[in-house]
Amino acid sequence: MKSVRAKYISAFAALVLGMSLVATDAGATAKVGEKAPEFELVDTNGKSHKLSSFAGKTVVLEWFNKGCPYVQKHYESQNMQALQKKYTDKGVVWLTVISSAPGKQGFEDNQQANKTRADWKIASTATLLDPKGEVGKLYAAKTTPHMYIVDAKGTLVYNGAIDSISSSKKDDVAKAENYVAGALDLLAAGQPVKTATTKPYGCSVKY
Amino acid sequence: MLEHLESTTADKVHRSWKALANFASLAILGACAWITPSVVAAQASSLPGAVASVQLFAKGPHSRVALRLPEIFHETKSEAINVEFQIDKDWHIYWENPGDSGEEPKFDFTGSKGVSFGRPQFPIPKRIAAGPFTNFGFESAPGQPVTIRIPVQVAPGGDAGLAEISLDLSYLVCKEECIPADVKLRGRVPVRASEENAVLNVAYRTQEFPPLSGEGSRDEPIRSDWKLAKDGRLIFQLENFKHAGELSKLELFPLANVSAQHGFRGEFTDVSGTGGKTLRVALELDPSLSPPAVGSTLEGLVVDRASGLTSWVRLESRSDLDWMGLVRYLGFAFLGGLILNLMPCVFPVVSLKVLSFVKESGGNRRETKLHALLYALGVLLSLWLLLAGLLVLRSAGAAVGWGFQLQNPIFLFALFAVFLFLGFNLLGLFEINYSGPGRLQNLMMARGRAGSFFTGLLTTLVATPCSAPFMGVAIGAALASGYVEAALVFTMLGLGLSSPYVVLGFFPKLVDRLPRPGAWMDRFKQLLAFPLFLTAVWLLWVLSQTGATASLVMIVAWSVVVGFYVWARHFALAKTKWAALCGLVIGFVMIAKVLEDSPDSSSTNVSGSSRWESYSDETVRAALARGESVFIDYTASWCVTCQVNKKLVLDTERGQVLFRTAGVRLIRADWTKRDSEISNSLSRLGRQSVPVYAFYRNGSGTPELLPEILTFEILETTLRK
Repeated sequence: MKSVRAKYISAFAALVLGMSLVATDAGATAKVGEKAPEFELVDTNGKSHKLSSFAGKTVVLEWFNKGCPYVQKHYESQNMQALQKKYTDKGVVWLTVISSAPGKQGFEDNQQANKTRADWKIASTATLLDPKGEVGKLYAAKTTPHMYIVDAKGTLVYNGAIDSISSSKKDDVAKAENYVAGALDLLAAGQPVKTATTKPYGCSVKY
Repeated sequence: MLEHLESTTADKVHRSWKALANFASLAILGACAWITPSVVAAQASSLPGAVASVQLFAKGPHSRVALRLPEIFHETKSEAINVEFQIDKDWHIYWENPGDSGEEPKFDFTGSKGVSFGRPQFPIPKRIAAGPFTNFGFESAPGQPVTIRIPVQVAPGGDAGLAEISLDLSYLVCKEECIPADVKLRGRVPVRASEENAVLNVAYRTQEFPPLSGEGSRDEPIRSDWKLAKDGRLIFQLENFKHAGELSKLELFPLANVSAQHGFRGEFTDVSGTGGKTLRVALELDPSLSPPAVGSTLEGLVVDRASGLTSWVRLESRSDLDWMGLVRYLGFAFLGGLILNLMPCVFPVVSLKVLSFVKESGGNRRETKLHALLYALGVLLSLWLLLAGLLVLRSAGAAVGWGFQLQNPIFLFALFAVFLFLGFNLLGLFEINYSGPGRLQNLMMARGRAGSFFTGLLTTLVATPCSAPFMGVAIGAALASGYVEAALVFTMLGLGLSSPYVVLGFFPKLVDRLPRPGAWMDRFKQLLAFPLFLTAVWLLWVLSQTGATASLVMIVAWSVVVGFYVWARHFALAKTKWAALCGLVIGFVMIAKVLEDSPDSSSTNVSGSSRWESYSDETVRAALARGESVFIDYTASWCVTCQVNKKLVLDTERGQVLFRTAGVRLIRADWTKRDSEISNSLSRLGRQSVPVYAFYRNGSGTPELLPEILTFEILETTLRK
């Protein structure tokens, strides 16, 4: 019986220790439940966007690579555009980020990216260009798509996949549970996000 | 594939020649296949008699896929087929956990009637860097395809001698960029009922595959438990791990739910004490993902690059019982023990005890207390013995559960014999010889102190099958947790079981309320013989359900000899009595021998209804993968509650309509015989006894467990939720 109590004490100690370690580390990487790391990136029209300038609004970050079949799945099915439209209409800031390095798949300069926005009818707030991959690495973005949500207070509240079915098949969109929409709806209702981290799926980000 | 067609018509050719020829042509075919896949495919389909739907090769982006079929499938034997990927240089496909990005190949097999497919077995993956991230996957060199093996089982009585196999395969091929591929492959394999062509398969079977299994296979992995260390790493130990020559050559590939940092190969440290080798393994977790939840089962593949041996590891986290949880479990255990007294299979014995109490209460009070305590001690001791046995068996890796004694036909027969004798004894047809304490019935029926003690022992033995709702949970929790908790739960169970008698012993006023001794007692005693006979009949029925049907007539005949012996004894016919006793003993030994030899595998279908599919991990997994709702009825023929639920709810018209309208797939896990797959499945649910009713909604991985006593209302609300 004593061992049970001892386990609890040591678990608590570990928790405290862990939290203090994390606290000293804050700001360095993106972690759910903590302040989302600040960044500044230029969009396809040369306009600069700072994360902190969106304080008071919910921000969605979406990692994008137009050559990736998993991204194409969500755009060809119009799933991504519909989400972008629905939530930006409700005041959510939706930032599409391209972290592909020059010469790698998915890299686009501002003209190409603007053309893609028009051709694909991308309805996000802006496409941000991150050719050095700094913001991608700051957030440890692994895949395209990889989705993050920052709440009005600047806290990272979601990190992971767009939905629950890891595949490149368009048919699966309707069958999957959309984690991003679920989280955004809960945030809009003033509730905490239930599924806060999931394993992202897709192509690797081409840093 | 040419040989398939030939072999169907030319079976009688000398076998060794045939095998040699087949080996040669297979090798040639295999070599040619990659050079001219389209040509070979065309040949296969243009052969006279071959149907155009055979498609053994397919081309995907930067990859070619071949379906490799064996010469012949043997019914009921474990067969396998291979899917081979030849991937262009610098491109790769993925392992079952693709790592930080990518996607595992998805196999969707359909076969003709009776053909079922197991879980794909992958070769040893490698870590493939993708920028700062890591994938688990495979590259292939020319002529060295990546081979994924799929176990196949062919049930007897399928479609006339030919198993059709079709595969919808989707996989992702990546270099820097990724291209999804969808291919369809189709083939057919002749099916043989017997071993007549066993030699033919030798060439195919001796191919080196799957990767040499070390100490733990996928289905029988090494088991251990995991915990999170203070530094946030996941820690587990490999006890008696033999294949560890050089620690730096070991590498761990965790499955996706581990949330591991995929680039981290695992840190292996030798922490052996005396005795076997023990390795401590530490794994970095992905800081951006939440760590695995307490109670979740984690799996991974340990690869020894030096020897090429692989071992699957399955890690379970010790669910730390908190104080409240422990108190609740102990409460349940006590209550469960108490309720067990009312169970039909305990009641006859309990009544015997009541009878002896009534007798004793007329005498010395102190003696009564002593009897009550001895009874309690007997109950406790038997539970402790049982627990010790369970723990020994558990650590020995045997998949046993509560109630397993009643799956052993010899045990059942012995118990039947004991009840038969007890019945005759209660009827007053013969008296127990008190000077012969070696006999079981003697001990149990003995009045006096020993009698109280042994009735306690017997009570537990008989209570086993009636594991009440409370017990299943409590025992499951105890066995899944530490030894101390398990001992506590079992102790509480014993205290609950024996408490009414302790209370009676210590508060004689209550004893006074028991009926006065008198002439009625003899009649009452005789009356009790009939529940005992019924219990004996019930045991016989259970025995018939274990598949040992052949011995039933023998047992009934033996019962007649028992009657003869009792009669001879009653009238003190000395010679006849001894002759009868000899007959009894010889008969007993013979039947025990027959039971021992009776094939444990002889299938009995308790369900008796085709709406229920029988359980296999694969069936459930496949159904859930398709997003279906699945209802699993864990049952056994010796479990009375299970039968009641089946008759009153599950298999009624109304119950079946409820299932049909909810579109639920019905699976029955029949645990009448110890089935290790079902035992494992139960322990994953934290249960060690039946009934258990698990409902998986729309392919959800976590089931809802229904109460152990079902009603239509419960079923309806669960299905409609």
